[in-house]
Amino acid sequence: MTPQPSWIPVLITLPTLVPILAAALTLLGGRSPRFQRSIAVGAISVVFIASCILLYLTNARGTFAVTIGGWGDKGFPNGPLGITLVVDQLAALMLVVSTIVLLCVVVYAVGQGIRDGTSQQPVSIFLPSYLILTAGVCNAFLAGDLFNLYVSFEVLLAASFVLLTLGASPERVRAGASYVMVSMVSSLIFLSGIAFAYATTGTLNLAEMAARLDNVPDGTRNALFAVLLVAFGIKAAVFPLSTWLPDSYPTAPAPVTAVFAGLLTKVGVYAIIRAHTLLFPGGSMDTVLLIAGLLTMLIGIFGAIAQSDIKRLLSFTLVSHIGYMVFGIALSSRFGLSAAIYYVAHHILVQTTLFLVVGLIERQAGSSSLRRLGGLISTPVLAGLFLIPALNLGGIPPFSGFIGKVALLEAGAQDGSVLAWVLVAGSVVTSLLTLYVMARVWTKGFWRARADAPEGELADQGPSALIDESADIAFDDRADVGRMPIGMVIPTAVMVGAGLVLTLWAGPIIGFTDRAATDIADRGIYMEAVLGGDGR
Amino acid sequence: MSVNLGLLIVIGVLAACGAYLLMERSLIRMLFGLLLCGNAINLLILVVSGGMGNPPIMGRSSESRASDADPLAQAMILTAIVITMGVAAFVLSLVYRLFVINRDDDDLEDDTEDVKILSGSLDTAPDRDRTDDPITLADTAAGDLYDDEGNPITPEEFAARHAEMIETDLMPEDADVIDENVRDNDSAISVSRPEDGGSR
Repeated sequence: MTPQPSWIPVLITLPTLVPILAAALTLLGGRSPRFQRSIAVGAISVVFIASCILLYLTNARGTFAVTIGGWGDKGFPNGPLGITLVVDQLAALMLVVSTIVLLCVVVYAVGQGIRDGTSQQPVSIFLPSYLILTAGVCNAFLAGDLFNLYVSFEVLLAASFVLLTLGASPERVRAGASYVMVSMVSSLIFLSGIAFAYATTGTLNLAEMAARLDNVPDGTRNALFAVLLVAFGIKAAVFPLSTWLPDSYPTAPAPVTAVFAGLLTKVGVYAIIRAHTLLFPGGSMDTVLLIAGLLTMLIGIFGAIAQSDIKRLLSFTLVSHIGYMVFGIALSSRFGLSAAIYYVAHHILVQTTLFLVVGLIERQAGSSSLRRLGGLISTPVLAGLFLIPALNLGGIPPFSGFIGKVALLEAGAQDGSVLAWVLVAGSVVTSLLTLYVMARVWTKGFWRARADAPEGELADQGPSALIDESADIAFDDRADVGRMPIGMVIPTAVMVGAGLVLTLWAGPIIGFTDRAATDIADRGIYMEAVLGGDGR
Repeated sequence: MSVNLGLLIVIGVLAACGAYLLMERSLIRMLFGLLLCGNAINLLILVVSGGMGNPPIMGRSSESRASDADPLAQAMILTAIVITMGVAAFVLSLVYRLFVINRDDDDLEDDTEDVKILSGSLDTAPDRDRTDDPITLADTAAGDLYDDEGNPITPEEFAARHAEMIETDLMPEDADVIDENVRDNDSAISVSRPEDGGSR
């Protein structure tokens, strides 16, 4: 490996440091909304630029690592002591996609804030929490150390608790309380996994641990892997551990739900990819993961069919499509991993876009319940913004959802085992059912006349005085029904465009994910980057 | 390495009590469960990191200790304690808020949408806006104007059938108002409207 220029370590720490410092600044400048907004947008732009540079560098020159503290060089035989941050192609890709999402959503939220006149509120806590969330997400992708991963999970969880319970309406407190408890239990399971891993290997550095785990008996390894998988599975909402998600996400404000849906579960998926490829290669848990993936897909999408609120419906499709990523990971092949990485990128963009569009629908029609919606086709811009990501999610060619699904199906077919074929069939069924769900939203919400909706006449009325302590979050935005602020439409359109980029440049991007998959499948590259030449 | 059995038992008891408390409905008990489990796991990290040893400070040593103590485990425990404390503070504020909202307890309630689906029937199913014509199976503009055998019913009969129906995703006050409007129009029975704001 060529020696690193001295500015690369600085670059790697930027995605964590800049948002944290910016969060402090936004708190200090709480009196001036304009100042807060410009700091937040500026900080996330800086992170976005740094991520793009990292993506370019890793693509051109391979994996980089920096050990903050760096006491490893001074004669300690155990290698690096300090906080290791590693960026490889997978991490860099996740960073870039995440920061696109974070940037668009913050612009959307600022647009909504300007429209709603939140500048009258004394201290806005939304932007500081949002920046902390950004720092947590970015740090999770960069963490080269199991404990650092735990801390970044906690950072992003703490921020998400605040964001989820913004305003503390009864609905949000109820949803937030169960979300806090489930998240904390998963963190405790993760922490006990860390304790076991530390007891087994005597290190928490991922690269070092990977080397030492090779000498650990199979039973112990599998037990460790299982504990970590349960912890990550709760965060990623893999089937038996997914029931918390549809109860928690839909009550939050639209931008918050959008960023949660796009990023938080994907952090869990990313952690599963890392653990699966780096720490526990060999696929000892693949059968379990494949079955969990199948059940996640099917049960998630069946849940979506039963819903009448678009936000809840989308939350269920979110759970369902996590199954695709688990499928790709569990195939344990280079193609499977590559397809899973592409699918993660696609799904982050599309799912976030759909939730942003639902925010616009609520604003336009005063509700997100299919029992009340109708006639949205009269706003062609909104219809277009919904239709493209909806078709994309359903996997209609030529959109990226189709490409990702075909790549997954090919990888499954290459695997050739009976279980893999069952999953291939399952994912086709899920894809069709997703299309059905999306078509239902389209026909009910957009195509039919509003008067035909069972409660359409209610939504056409002004906000009912009876619903002052609103149980229906959709009514929060009622003061501004019928408008689509340009500050919210543009970020949504940009997100739709970003989803299309995955289609237009599918060739190069698939090539990139192939290389990323090859790199993470070969653990030596990662270990060499962290531990130096004598990786093993 | 030798393992401290006493501490292991303490860990087991703490974790068991914590898990038991986490199963409760009351948020404050869940918080206690969380704290107990957190402490159990912190102890676990301490136990698995090895026995006592020399303090990890250059030039310091204790009598008859062969090796150094592991400072990393203690650093991790400290971090975990701080994180748990922060979350506990947040949960306490949630508990307070839940007290304010519920007035008398801090129990978590079931998700309203889940309850709706669990207790739902064909009448309350999502999007049952138009009934299929029982013969042609086509959507009809008449709406739900068929009885269980598929015979058409008049709007009066429909209103009578649905007078008791509760629209689960509406506030009950709203549903009452709508039903009364229907009754007002159709059968000219004058019903006194509930006071605005409903009775909470």
